[in-house]
Amino acid sequence: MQELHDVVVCEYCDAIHQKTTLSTDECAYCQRCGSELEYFDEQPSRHLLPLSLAGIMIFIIANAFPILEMEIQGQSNKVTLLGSLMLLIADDASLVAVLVLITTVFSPFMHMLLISYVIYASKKHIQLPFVNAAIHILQAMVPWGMVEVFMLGILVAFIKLGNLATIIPGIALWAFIALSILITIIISYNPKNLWHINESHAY
Amino acid sequence: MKVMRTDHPQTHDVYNRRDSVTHVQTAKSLGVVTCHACGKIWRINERENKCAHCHADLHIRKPNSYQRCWAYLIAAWLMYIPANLLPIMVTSTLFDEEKSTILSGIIYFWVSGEWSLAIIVFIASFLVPLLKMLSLMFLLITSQYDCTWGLRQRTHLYKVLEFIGRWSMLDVFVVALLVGLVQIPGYASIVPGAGIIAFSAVVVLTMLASMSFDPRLAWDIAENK
Repeated sequence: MQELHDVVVCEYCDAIHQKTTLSTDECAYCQRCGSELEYFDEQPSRHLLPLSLAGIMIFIIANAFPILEMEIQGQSNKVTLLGSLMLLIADDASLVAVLVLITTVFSPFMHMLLISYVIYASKKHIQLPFVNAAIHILQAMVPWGMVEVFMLGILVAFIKLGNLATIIPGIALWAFIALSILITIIISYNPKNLWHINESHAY
Repeated sequence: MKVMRTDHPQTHDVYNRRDSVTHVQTAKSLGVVTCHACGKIWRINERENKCAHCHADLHIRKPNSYQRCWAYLIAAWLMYIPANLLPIMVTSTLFDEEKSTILSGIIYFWVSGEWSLAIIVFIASFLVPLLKMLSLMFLLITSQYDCTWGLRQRTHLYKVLEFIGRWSMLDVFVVALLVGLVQIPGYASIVPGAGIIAFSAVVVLTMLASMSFDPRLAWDIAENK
């Protein structure tokens, strides 16, 4: 099979265009449907690896500590993410529990872990196994990561119960706020470009 | 190809006119395929159908796009009925048991004066899934019945759908948190209802439906006309 280097294909309407060199902050749009064709070809930011590692640490805090605490008539109860998943399973809503687990725990964690792995391998110029598989999994994971939606969910739950009881924000609430900011920065890097940082050295 | 500064995108509607659509060459007509995973562009040959760079399967169009999209969409409509009729959670206190549905949750916020929150939940849990399913049906029917009207707008609509679908998960997360938090023995406890299971299914199925839809099929029709 022959690879074509000098063309760009629109992923929304399949129009084929001659490639132009873009300079910083420029973006090419499809003439037929108006979709973005490509941005200035950025190298993965130097900050991506430290951001992901910081994200993993915050992720652990967000999952280990209570998100909210409710106090009512001298009694109190704390909720952690995993604790509420256990209750969902106990109440015959395992499907919901699995979905919440994938979207708020599994997907963001795997995203940060795999991106660190791939960038580490490319920076050190070493051959590590499963780099290809890691990028494939990473790309499949992107639409299912929903930390920022979960963040909004915490706020809605907070206000909903605020009228009935005293709600105290827990450590994990702050961790989730930090995590959703970090994840947004990490996800803004298009994982497609990960395929090309490895191009110079075969693995 | 049009290059412009990202901060000043201009629009030009030359290709809204049907006669100009035919001037553009497509990758399909030239026997060129893009790898959906790594973005490499290949000239197709008969023997290989895997990307030489990342080993993903190569497809000129998403396989069985219409069939898969309709299947997910019909399943989503079926789940949409119990999702709205059955309670998403049941609150039991010492004295009574209160069942709340998606709409009753929104009404509760509205009545208790939390208007901004009522609007957010109304958009995320009611409007988004409904409009998403209707829009996907519209996109499927217009593509399947060879309609070339508003191709640019339809492509744009598809991009919006891809982006907003995830926000419907809001209510699922709220119920998960409330079930975990409101567990005060002898005072109040919340258990999830069957409605939230159906609602999660709606969100997942509509996401799968929009992932299996291929906007390029609509442009193919315009080209062949």
